[in-house]
Formats: sequence, structure tokens, C-alpha cells
Amino acid sequence: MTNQHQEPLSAMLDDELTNNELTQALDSIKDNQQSVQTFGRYALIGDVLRKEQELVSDDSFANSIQAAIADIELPMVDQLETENVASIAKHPKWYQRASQKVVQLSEHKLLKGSAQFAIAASVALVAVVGVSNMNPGQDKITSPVLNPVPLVQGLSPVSLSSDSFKEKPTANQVTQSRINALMADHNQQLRATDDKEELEKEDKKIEQ
Amino acid sequence: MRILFLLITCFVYSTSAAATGTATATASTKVVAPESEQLQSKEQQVQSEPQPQSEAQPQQATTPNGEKINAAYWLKKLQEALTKSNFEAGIVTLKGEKTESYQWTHGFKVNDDGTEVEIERVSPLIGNGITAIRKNQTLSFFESNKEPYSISGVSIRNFIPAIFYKDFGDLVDSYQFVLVSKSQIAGRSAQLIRVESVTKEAYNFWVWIDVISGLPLRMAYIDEQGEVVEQVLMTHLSYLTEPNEEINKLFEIQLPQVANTAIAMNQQTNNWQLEYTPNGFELLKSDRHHVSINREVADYYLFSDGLVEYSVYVQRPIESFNSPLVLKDGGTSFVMVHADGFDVTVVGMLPTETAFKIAKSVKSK
Repeated sequence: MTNQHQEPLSAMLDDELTNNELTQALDSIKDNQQSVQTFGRYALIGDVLRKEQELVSDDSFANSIQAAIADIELPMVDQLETENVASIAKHPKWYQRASQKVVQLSEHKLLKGSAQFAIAASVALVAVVGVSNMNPGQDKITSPVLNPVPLVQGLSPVSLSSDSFKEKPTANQVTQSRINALMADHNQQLRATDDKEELEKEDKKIEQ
Repeated sequence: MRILFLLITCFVYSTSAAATGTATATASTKVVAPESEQLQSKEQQVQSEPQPQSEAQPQQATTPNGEKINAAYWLKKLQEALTKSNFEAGIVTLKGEKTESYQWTHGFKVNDDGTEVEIERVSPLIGNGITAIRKNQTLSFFESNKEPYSISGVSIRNFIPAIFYKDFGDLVDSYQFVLVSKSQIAGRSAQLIRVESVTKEAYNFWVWIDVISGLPLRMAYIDEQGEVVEQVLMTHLSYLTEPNEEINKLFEIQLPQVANTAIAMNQQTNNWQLEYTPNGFELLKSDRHHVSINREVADYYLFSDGLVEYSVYVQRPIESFNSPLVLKDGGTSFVMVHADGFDVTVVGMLPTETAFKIAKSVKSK
């Protein structure tokens, strides 16, 4: 592939093509997988530069993008509907947008504006990345897929005793802080009150 | 010569179960005046070993009127030992799955002006918990990263129930006292006294009293099924006829002044009606205060039957828990329920069923 070949792609993403040129560009890449990949990468790079998407700097991430794009066909859209796909796929808007754009891409109709097309492509990419990153064994995880921060592990809520917490795993922060506060207060009250009571008794004895 | 008597530590490892007789009973009573009777106490100790045949004689002699007075005799002895002897002990408390250990020191020292100073200290062996030091009626708490402070108090109550320093007669209405057999704890002969809840609303309390010193060797809270829910064990005991170095050191320590500020208390907490109170429990105090730590306002009630206490908190409702929330830590129950527009929490050394019943009975007036 020459640089010349890639220029229209780059220009398209930068919204610098006329309608005619755009049609040509789309035609030129329609049967070329490598061009499609390049287009995807350009779109991603553009997004990252514009800070529209968080960059995950991981080799496996890039690999997974390429792998995913190689496979990108209509069946991918069907897969979005399967149960194994986590929350992003279930999100109606994501699904709608992703499938719509992917269909558009595959039919390479003329779009209203190339900028829109760029966004559409990036959206599809994000969706694809999200889906392809999900291992079938992890389908129980329901955290937002777009969140690049891994699930915090090794931290668990503090409880009065591990036994009681096993029974009540639903206690949240507010409840927990109230429980701790009341336990501490109870002990404090005991300490102060007993002594007061006893002193009063002693006082009475002295009075007698 | 005098050095010989400075520190007599009683480790009577009785080789036979019948090692305690008249000698031991008298030995423990003379703790009150250790100075004058050092010689005698030394003799008694020597004697106590070759005299294993006189089992259980003094007990019947001192208390001819039956079981209840027998138990009272031992409890009286316990009380005297706790307040009038010099000793150093290791304590382990077993609460749920938690284990805590303490060193417990108690003794007397005579001031230059002839007044007697009672010294007591309870300090955790592991971790940085609160160390409590008491001199007569000044009770100070030392905690890492916090200013030490003092309050007025006549005893450190960490693992020892308050009643040990009061009149056991207060418990007669709600508990019955049963004198049970003697047994061996850490090689020492121990008399078991069972303090049993009459109505079963509270835990039973068992205490094993050292026959020689009168100190508690083991204490346990027992639920209705006979399970130990929480217990305190004495792991070692040094019974002293004179204050040892540690006590002398404590005597030199200057405790912070007792804070003179009366805690501001709002007394108007008659908004709630507590329809159920277990047998023998009485209201000690009620107020409205900010709960320490999270500063939530609570209407507060403290009840006690002399042996154990429980707190009742009435607070604004929070939606974040499923009523009833029932937790347990050793013998301490924690029950939080949603009531009509408010949350009720009961915390205390009670069976969970009783705590739940109390929480459910709180109504707004």
C-alpha cells in the first residue's frame, strides 16, 4: 500500500474531500481489508488526538482491534443481540448507533458528511472493541465495559465480624458507618455511665 | 532477709484436685494487710502443700445456710480480691471470632502522708488499643495518636462486668445464683458460680473463682442452648503480697487531670415509648446526643440489669438497609429496624431475640 493510497482516507477523516472525491475514496477501499483497517486506525488516532476517546496503551488492545476489524461483518451486528454480550450491547442507543453505522459502512452509501462518517466509524470501533474484549467466561460481569479501570479487587466492606457480614452482604456504606458509629457510641456510653452511676451511689453513701 | 518476702508469687500448681483446704481460704483473706502478715502467709503456703486431705471444709463452716449464701460468700470473696489485692494477670477475651489479650495489674501503695492509693491498669498486649490506668477514682485512657484524658471512675471495666464492684444483691430479682462444683483451671482450683437469668431473656453468666486468691479465673456468657457466646480467660496469675515493681512504676505516673467539663446533654427524650423491657432492666439514662464518629443525632436510652447493659437509639430513617438488620459480635447483639418514620437500633449484651423484641416495641408517643 502506498502513501498515496492512504491520503484520501486521511483527508476524508479530516473532512477535506468533496462529494465526488469521497465517493471515489469509498469505492477504492471497499474491497481492501487493509484500507478498512487503516481507516479504522486513523479514526481512532483522530479521536484520541481530539480527546474524544481514552487511549488504552496496551499491545493486546491494538491487536484486539485489528482482530476485531478483520472479522467485522454483518454477523457481528447479530452477535450484539446475544446474551453473552455485556451491558454496552444492551444499551439501546449504542446498539442502534453501532449497527446502523456498520450497515452504512458495509453498503458504502454516500453519507451526508464525511465528518459524521468518521464519528460513525469510531463509534462502531468502540462497540467492536467492547464486544471483542469480552470473554465468554466473563459474562457475569455487569460493570460498564467502557470503563477502562479494572474492577477493584481485594477490597471488601468492613463489618463487625466476618460472619455477620456473610449473612448481610447488602449493607452499604451508609449503613456500615452507622453500625460502626453506634457500636463505638454504645461502648463509650457504657464506660462513662457506669462510673457516673457508681459515683452517685458513693455520694449517697457519704451523705448517709 | 526482707528481700525474701518482697515478692511472694502464688503459683500453687496443685498436683491433686484436693489441694485446697483451710490453708488456702485463710491465705486469701490476709491479703488486706500484707505488710504485717508476710511471715505467716509464707508459712501458709508451705503448709498448703502437705495438707491435701481437708477438702471443702471451710466452705461449709463459713456458710451453713445453704446454697444461695454459699454463692454469695464466693462472690463477696471475688469482690474483695478485685479491690483489695495485689496481682498481675494475663487475660484473653474470646468474642465471636475475635481474640483479644490484656495485661491486668492491680495493687495498693501507701503514700507519704499515709493514705492508700489503689492502682489498676488494663493494657492490650497486641496492637494499639486503649490502655486504661486508674489511681483511686481517677481513670485515664491512653490511646495512640490521641491526647490522654481522665474521667472519674472506681474501676476499669473492660472485661469485668460492673456488678463485680457493686452489690450482687441487686441481681437477686432477675438472676439466681447457683454454686456448682469445683474444677481445675490452669492448674488452680476454681469454684464455679452460675448466675442464671430467671426469665431467659438475658444470657447466663458463669464465673470460675480462684479458691486461693478469689480472683476470676474464667468468665463466660452462656446462651439458652448452653453455648458459650463470649468468654474471658485468665492465662496467668501472679498473686502478690506486696506491690511489685510494675505497680511502683504506675504509682509514679502522673495522670492527666479529670476533665471538669460536664458533657452537654439534652434531657428531653420522652418522645418514645419503649413498651417492652426485659425483666430486671432499668433505665440508667436517656438523652439526645450526636453519635460519635458519624455525628448523627440520636435519642438515646441506656438500660442495665446490673450485670449487662443495652443501648436503644432512635434515629432518622435511612433507606440503605433491609429491616431488620441483625448482627452479632460474640454475645453483643446489634438489631436495627425500620419503624414508622424512624429507625430503632438496639445494641447490647443480650440474646438477639430479646434485642429484636425491644427494638420492635419502640413506638412514638
